[in-house]
Amino acid sequence: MAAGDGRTQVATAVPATSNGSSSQLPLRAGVGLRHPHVLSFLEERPATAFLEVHSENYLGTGGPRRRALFDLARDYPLSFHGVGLSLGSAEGLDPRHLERLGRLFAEYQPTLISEHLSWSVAGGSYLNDLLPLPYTEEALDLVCRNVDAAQTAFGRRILLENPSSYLQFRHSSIPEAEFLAAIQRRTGCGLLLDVNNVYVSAENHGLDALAYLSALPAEAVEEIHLAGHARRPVGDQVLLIDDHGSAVPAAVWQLYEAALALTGPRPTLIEWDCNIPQLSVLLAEAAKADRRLIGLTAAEGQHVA
Amino acid sequence: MSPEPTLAELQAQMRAALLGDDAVSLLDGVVADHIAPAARFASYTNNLEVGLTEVLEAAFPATSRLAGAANFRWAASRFALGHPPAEPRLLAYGADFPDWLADFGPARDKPWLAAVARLEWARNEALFAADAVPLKPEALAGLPPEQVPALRFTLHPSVRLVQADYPIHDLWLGEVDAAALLAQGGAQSVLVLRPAWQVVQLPVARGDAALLAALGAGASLAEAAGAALAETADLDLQQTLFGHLVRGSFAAVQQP
Repeated sequence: MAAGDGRTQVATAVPATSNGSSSQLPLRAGVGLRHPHVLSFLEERPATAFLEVHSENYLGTGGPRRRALFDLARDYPLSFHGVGLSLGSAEGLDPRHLERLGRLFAEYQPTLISEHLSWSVAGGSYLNDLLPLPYTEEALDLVCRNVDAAQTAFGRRILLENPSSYLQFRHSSIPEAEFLAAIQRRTGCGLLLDVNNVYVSAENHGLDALAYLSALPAEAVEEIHLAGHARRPVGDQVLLIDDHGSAVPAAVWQLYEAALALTGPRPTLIEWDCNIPQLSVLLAEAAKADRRLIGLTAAEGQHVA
Repeated sequence: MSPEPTLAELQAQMRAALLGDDAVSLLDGVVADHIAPAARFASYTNNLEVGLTEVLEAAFPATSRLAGAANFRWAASRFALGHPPAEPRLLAYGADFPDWLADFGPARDKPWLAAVARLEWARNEALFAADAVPLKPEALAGLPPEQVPALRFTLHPSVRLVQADYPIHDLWLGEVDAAALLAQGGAQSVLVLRPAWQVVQLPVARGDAALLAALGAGASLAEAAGAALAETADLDLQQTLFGHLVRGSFAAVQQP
């Protein structure tokens, strides 16, 4: 029986969380909360610095998914990561979706909210992907307007994530890192640096990943994402596909270390969305990030002392 | 080279190309290097098709099993490209799939597939429906018997009724070979609800389904009982009502 067992009791109202929206995530590693692991989290409460969820998965009216997250919000800081706001849509943001998300954030009071520099809505259809933008002055103005609209609707700042991409548009005139820096400057949003995305895009387009990192305003990076990617053969070439379906590869760990050298320790998420492994494997990946973060924190402490 | 498209034009082009239209003008504007623009763009078309197909597979597992996984994936991808989601809540994606499947040429001689898909969509709706504390049997304790006929019940927000000319509950269960079930025939009415964490479903008599449908439409218990007995003359009303109170089919009761 679950009755009397505080850990498995279901929250029927918004919990009085100690992780209020004004605080920050710990400078440690967290994991994405995925369906196969929910029961383990509910029953065992394994240690991890924070949980990140896809906001759109919690926009049902009721049900066990939402209740489980209310329950977990008592013990873990939450980060809500959106995949459907479509900040790059020329037709602007969907006011119904903005309103639903605003209500969701008011209910759960996540510590962080984030979205992507991409688009997914056109002609009234949601295309279920993070589609690439041309980096032009027109697109820059548009994304800034949409980020402003989102931050106004939510009454708080969002973090904007650099995308992975498989193609570039000929008429792009602004390098992606500069484009992100300009949005950050103009809207006051924060940045979510996805190191795997930097690696994937750099490989796919023959760009310099370290130069990309250097072009970002390091102080604006408030969270880091790490993930694995797939390799899709194309003739005798290879395209890297950002599938979040495997362990973080060595090259991405190296780039993460380079990123941390620029930003200092930042809350770091392990994303693993397909071929989802045992929770212990996911937590072991997070521990690898933690070792790098702890090393950095210790080094900084010594430096200050 | 064509003039630079506006962002709105580019997104309209890309939307059309992703959903199966000609990608020529879009690809004209894509950087060509060691990998051809068409091969690069194929990563996005593949993501869209596979991603939405997987969403439908997760929502309709029994339909997929009955159709055969490869057949289902093919049908689902046809549906996805013709009917992409209208909004980013993928938990709401697939509501139109059962009706589409009923009209889908290759499935037209297997109408039970769409019927099972309707049952699965009812389960999906129940899963994400509003939460409510079910009305307990004790709620009616001590009520003067003469007041019972005038009671009006509010169905639990997760309650869904699915009626079909096929044994959809048994087909969904999959414990007996589908061909044998279909040869045997038999219509089934199925009640789906989620009183707490779990979605539950059970086959009910036609009269029971009529009772719930009438109560859900605001009828009094006496009026609903009339509708129920018209469908199933020998329905044990007291037992049926008690069953609903025990399993949580109601959220509230209004006394006259």
